[in-house]
Amino acid sequence: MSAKDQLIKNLKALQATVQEVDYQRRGYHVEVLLDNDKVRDFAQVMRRHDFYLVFVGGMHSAPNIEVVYQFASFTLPCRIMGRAPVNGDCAVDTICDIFDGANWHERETKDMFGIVFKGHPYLQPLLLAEEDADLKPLLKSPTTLKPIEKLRCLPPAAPDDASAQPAPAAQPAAAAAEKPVLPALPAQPSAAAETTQRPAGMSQLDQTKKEHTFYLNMGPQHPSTHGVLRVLLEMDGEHCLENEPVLGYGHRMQEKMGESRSWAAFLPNTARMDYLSALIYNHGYVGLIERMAGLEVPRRAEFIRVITDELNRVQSHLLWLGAFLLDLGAFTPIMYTFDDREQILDILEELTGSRLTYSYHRVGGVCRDIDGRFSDATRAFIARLRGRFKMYDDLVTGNIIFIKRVKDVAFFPPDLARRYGLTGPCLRGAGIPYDIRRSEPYSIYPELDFEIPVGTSGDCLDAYLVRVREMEQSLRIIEQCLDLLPEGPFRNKVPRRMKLPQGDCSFSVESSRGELAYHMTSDGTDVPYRLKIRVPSFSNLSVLPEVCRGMLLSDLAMTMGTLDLVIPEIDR
Amino acid sequence: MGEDKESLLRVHSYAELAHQRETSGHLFREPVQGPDGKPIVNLEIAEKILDFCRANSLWPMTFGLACCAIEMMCLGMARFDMSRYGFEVFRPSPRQCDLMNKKMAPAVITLYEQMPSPKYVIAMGNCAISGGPFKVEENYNVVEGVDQIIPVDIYVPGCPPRPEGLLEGLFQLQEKIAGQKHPIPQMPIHRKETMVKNYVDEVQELKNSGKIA
Repeated sequence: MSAKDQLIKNLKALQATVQEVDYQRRGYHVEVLLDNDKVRDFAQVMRRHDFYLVFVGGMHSAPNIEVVYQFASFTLPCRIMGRAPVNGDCAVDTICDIFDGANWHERETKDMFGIVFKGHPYLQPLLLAEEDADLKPLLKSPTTLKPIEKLRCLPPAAPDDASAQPAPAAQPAAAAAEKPVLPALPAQPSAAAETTQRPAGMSQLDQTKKEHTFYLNMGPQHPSTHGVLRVLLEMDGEHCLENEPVLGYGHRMQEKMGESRSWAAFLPNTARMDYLSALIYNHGYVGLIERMAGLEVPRRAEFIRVITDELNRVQSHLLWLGAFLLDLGAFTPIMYTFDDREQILDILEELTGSRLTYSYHRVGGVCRDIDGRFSDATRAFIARLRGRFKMYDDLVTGNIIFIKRVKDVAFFPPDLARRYGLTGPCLRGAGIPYDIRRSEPYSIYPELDFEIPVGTSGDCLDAYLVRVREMEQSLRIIEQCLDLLPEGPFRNKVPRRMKLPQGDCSFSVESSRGELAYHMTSDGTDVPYRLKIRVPSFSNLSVLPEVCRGMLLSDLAMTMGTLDLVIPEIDR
Repeated sequence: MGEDKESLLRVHSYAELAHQRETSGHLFREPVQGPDGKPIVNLEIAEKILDFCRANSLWPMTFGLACCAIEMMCLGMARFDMSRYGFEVFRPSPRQCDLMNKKMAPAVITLYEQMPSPKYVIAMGNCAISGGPFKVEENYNVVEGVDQIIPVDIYVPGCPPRPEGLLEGLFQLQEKIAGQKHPIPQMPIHRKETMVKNYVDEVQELKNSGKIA
């Protein structure tokens, strides 16, 4: 029995409706419709099968609100979508003691929908301000609320036979007869319940711990947080015993905007979430719409997309390299990396018309074709940057001070990554070659020859090396794409007011920081009904309290640099 | 008793002056007059010198929230190099900020109040000016323009503005302070041969001259 079959069998034992769906159309493999009280069991099964949490979200539909869970695995190419309705008190059990990363996702869902997660240790507003705790901005108004049947995928046009349809009445009975193969993990709600009574407005930190501890606010206006992030620190001298990031200083209602305008009008917003990999965000969004509507993209356009994506990735990593070293106190490298970065911005500016916030990828292709000037400049840049890598190596990687500073600090082990949903270079630094470009290939990545660089120990040095080697691989990809670039059209005509078929769909891409997932639910109009955006930095930052416990303050700043945070992306 | 009251009043009026100086950044404009009706100390020249120095050493306090912050970094780094105009290290005075939401607003006011006078504010980017793309009907969180919270001297539009745009904004601020733009020009910026070339053009030139294939 394969791992996937075993998993489906275990899921069926939860008396849930388990349905394998068409990945090409929906973007995930298995859909699980759960009862309200089975959420924790579902999470246990996912944990036992070594899945990681992609996101927890919500959706408001008639008759009640639904909680949506998505899980994926570092090894098994399988993406699971779980749905559970809330009960009469608008509540559902928490899973944040099983998947620690769910803590923030659940708080966000509470902000947006008012769903109460029973047993959650600290259910205070995460993205919204304190006084807006009851705002619930993503709830639909009575005029826009749609019944749940309007939001489910329609079955394929030609149903072949009855076996394709699940028989919910028969399945639970059959499943109940089978014994669950996995032993259940011990439930530990007592510790969680105890901490619920903390005063609102302060934090999750235990405030009666030691006599000589003091509290320190790092941010929201602090240079090493790379944006407006506030980290509340409990300090003992130079050591921070506990830390707690406070988010929401740049919350810009991106999801709300995605749900109140047509899909075409939302495209510029995608570039303004993570402005350092704006093209990759564009790619994810247009990929989602194309997958939803079942559109074909010209081959030339796919090549152009990959070239620009990778240029964008190199640009982002170059900025990270400079800023990370600046955080460590080395001022020189940032001057050089910005010099290189300006060349990429020149190349992309001539093609796309903007320096940073591109809206270049369009549904059905790209906005403009590339020409000889572009490919000449790109090739010249690749040759130039390869020469510069040697200089960076001599300047930074071979520098004994740098190595002493970052080696064996802040480990990101694979199990921690699973619990929190950590993805991207920090995960690959721990030796797991998980990259969406390989594991769930999109666009033309399967045809290209490139490696996924991995590290060994998972510390900050490994994350650094992985990023530097990723830049080299990106240059390789760009070179191959320029060589293989086919002739043909660069864009298919797509009507602006194209109606999206009803149902939901997911699309994941590998941004410079990790997995970026869009999940859209449509009610059959051109305005999306629900758009959930899973951003990598959100989950990546949530490891900070655990990884940096007891660390020196300067090491904490360095760990935040290693995570390569883009705060407006976290806050959305 | 009457004397006490007067000295109390004087303390009060000094406090007012100090407050005025802190808020406007200038010494009291009305010079103290001697018995003959002429000012005892002529502060005007000193003021001009001070303004001149201020205009040439604007030390901005960075307050970048999003995309504009990256362009602001570009301005400080290798190609654009704002320090040649004396806009040295990003630290105290004039302030650049982009988009702001309800949670951030109190912090902005605190920061503004903490800045030493004279202080100037540059609102960089459409979001800081008006809310930009987030000024929408369904807005529940974004403050539509930083000038609703703190006074703004210069607006630099763009989404995000180019580094040259911010540079021009800083020149405008100089003009506002000292009456002229970049009073000590370190480098003639509008001469074409001194400007950095666009990389794509540079590659084409090299190609045409046969230096690269």
